[in-house]
Amino acid sequence: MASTTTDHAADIDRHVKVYITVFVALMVLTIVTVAISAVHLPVPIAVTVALLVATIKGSLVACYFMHLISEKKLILWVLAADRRVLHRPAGASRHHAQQRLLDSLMNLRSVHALLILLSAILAVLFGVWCLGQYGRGNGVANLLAAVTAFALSAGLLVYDSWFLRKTRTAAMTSPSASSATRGRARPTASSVSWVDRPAVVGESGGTDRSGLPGLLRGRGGPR
Amino acid sequence: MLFGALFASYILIRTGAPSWPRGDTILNVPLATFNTLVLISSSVTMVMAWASLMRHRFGTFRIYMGATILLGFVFLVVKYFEYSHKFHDGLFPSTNNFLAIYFTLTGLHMLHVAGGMAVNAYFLGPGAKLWKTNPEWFTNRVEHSGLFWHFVDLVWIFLFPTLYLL
Repeated sequence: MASTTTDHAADIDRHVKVYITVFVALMVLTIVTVAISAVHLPVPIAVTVALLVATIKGSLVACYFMHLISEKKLILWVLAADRRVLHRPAGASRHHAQQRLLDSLMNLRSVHALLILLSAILAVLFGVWCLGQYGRGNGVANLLAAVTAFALSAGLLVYDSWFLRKTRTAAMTSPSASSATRGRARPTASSVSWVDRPAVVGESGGTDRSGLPGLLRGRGGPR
Repeated sequence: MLFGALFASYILIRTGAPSWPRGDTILNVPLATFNTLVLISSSVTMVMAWASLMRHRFGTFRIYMGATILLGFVFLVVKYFEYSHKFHDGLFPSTNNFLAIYFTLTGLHMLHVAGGMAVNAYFLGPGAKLWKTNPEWFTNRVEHSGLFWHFVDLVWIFLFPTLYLL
């Protein structure tokens, strides 16, 4: 136990170093974006640059402060876990063929994949519209926007196929953590269980579908 | 979702308008830059507060959490001066489309800042009792309130260039 605590402290020390680096980067980028705006570039370029810098800053906050980068596996796990896996103990409805069909369609994985696909189609349509605007002699910005939209659409499609491939098999079969440590965190009321993450795991019960704690361990919690 | 819809409205209103003022001709960029730095700092102190709990240093947590709330307060005070200066100059949400969307977006963002501060204050004050009985839960709750706080920071990171610099 002592050794894990030490590992853990070292882990957090590393995190803190990253936070400081990100902090400095955010400060510098803020100054950069203000400095660029003082130059008074043409509007389309100014918009592109400002939003690019803002996206970089936003990604830094989301990935490091909000820990999304170390939770990638967890997010995939959640998106990949269909309702059959999550609700197995509920039992009753699973014999219903109709219900099962609905379950297989209405899982987060397929909804996510579908929404990404729709976004890609929307981006293509937007790109075509921009091209039309450009064809009518409405400035280079429209051409730029069309190219961006097509690139975005291609990126979304690549992501979608990657996501579907990634979540097909591996995500569900992560090594499980020992149930002994999780037992402690069993919730008294289900309403708090979504606030306190260990309790969610405790609630979902058995060791068979407990990829979650194994994945959480990577980013470390006081458990 | 809420901010996304408003950003979309902003884009539509702006592209539909015959002319659109550059933000810096109306708004105070140095103050907003200062506020951006304040909010980024508060995000760092927030994540440090959580890291302190992970290291079981409750005293450090209190300092960082206090700093987070204080920085949020500074943000609101600066915003108050910005707003009152605008009102003093006779610039109201009803003056034009730019000011309407400016006040809507920043006002809504300020409400989020105030909400985040309230939750953080709860964890610094009465909510901190939980640390003694169940430190794990307390740490996770602080992490979640941190997620909200970072989201508020994230929104500002996009609001700032959109409204002030373009």
